Amino acid sequence: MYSLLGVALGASGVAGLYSCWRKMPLSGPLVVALSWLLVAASLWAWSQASGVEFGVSYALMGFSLVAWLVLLFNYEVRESKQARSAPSASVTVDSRSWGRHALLFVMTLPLAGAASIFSCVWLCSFLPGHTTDKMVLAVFLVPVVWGLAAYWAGADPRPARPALALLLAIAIPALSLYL
Amino acid sequence: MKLIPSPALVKQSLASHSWLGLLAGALMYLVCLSGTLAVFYLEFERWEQPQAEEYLDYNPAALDAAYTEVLERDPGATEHVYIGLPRADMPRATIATDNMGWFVNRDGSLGDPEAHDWTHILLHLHLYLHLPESFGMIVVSLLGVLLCGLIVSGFVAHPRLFKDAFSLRFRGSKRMEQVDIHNRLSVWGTPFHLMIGVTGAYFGLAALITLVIAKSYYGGDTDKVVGEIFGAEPRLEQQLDQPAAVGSAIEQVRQMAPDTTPFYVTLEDVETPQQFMLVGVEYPRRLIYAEQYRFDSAGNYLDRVGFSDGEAGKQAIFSVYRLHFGHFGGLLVKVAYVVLGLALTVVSVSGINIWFARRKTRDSLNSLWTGFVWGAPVALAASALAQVVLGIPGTAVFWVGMLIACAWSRMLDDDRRARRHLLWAGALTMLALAAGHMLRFGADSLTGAAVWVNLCVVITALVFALAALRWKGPSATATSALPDPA
Repeated sequence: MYSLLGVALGASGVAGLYSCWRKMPLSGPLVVALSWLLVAASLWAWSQASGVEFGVSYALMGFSLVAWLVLLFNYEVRESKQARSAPSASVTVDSRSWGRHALLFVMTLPLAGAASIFSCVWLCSFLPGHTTDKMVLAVFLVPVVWGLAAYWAGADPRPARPALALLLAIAIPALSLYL
Repeated sequence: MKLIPSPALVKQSLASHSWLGLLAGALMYLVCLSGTLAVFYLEFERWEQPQAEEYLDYNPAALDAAYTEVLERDPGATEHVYIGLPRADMPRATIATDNMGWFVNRDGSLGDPEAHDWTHILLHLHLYLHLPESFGMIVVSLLGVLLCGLIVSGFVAHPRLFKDAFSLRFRGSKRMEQVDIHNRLSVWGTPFHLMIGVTGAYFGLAALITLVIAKSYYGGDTDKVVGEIFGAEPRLEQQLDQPAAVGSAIEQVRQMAPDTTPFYVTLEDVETPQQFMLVGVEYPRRLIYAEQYRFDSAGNYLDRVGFSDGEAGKQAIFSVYRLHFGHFGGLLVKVAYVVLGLALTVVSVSGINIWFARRKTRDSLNSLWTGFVWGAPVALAASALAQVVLGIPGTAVFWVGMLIACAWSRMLDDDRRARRHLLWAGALTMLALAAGHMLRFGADSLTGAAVWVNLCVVITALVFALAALRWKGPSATATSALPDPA
């Protein structure tokens, strides 16, 4: 019963988003908000049906699959009349750009990695709660923070800025831990 | 207040997104493709040895005999003995030392040696990219990190991502087609992609992070970190007069937790005074891999590690495995994981395709990429055919297959033709694989998981053949000059 409700709520949420983003009569910020609420409610329904852990997983998987299903039945086989452009920023790989790529590599992997590991472990140690929870939170935060740092390193037009920030994010926790 | 990033930020984010995507590149594709297949690794193990006895009900006492016999058969030193108990998705009992393993028959006698070499090749590709394990694990985990970075940069780089979320247009320009596929699959798959990124990164980075955690909390003692999260080893000093009481431990767990399913027993510090047993138990509606009940060698209950009701962190970290591989909730979840995993595979390929299309020039990289993408399924099928049917080492076959596919595509220098040839090669190899499996294993290939795997192989072969027929396209000379990577 709750499973069916979960499916219905999730599908209604996706339908609402479809209606808004395809500029159908039923649209507007209120409908978008209501659609997201329906999607959130599907998490609750699935949790009632299968427990929180399975329920949240089912709801999120269902959300993706229903949306792709809607896409599958709505693809256009002809070029849209409106002018189509996509933002473009080509990455060139040639002998002149190797230096920049090497610098980015160092910044996005070893530097961002060390910064995220040191800073996450250090900052989590100040949180209240059980030691195990703080340690595990740090373990799960590291890849996300590392990914964010890698993104910043690649996006900032002045590479010195992220480089300096990452070095500080290593140095401060490291000094605190090792001195 | 509108939360729309400025055009400059969009451009910078897109540059960062492209750069991170290229860095992950081809390796991400291999990890995603092999991971999608690895969802069904238990079924592949059963398919590789379809003749092994399958059963769900068993007498735990019979495992005592199996334990005694396995120590006699393997004279080499072993620190562990691993016993796999029959359960719904793996209705077989197995027992293994650190050196070798066997199936256990229902009466407790040892059956054939375990040999899931191809499944091992597939998992090794997903977990380590066939590199040395300690290094490969870190490389693959870094791909998880890059995936997290790609998700964030992707959102900032595409301000119309939500407004265009239901817009999928084919027959536009090649680049726009790929952009639409890439963005639509990415945006709706975000929860799954983020989960895969974080859990995937955990496997290889945990050891690195533990070094800093140990310094922060325990003066550098990593054993204390492991003990805090995964349970410290019990301190025992026993006289080992009898073999470990495996059956008794399982019986006790059945009584202590009647609604759960014991599915493995691990013996640690085997044949030493410190020997103890862990009985791993699956809890219904829980993502934790197992709760562990611990016993001494004589079968006296010691304690429970607390993965089911301990600190939230302990529960979370022991939920990573099932969540990453989709081993919860049965067959439907596995199928959903295959669809979601396949989508991530397409996202990783289309991302590189977009980069190729943007270059507006064509060189050997284009045709090599086509060979790499469409050669991987052929090489995987060929490695399975070699390993499972012919007994030829499959890892070498896989990489030689990849080399041939890339070289063939480079030689043709015509992406459409190369793709069509590789699709035909894939279809034929898969049909040969299913036929070879039936020839080798006879009626056993039409039972249990084997029949479903063979059926899926045949269906995939037909899909490849249909795709090859559908994508016949214009002549080679007309297309070879176009940047049409895959």
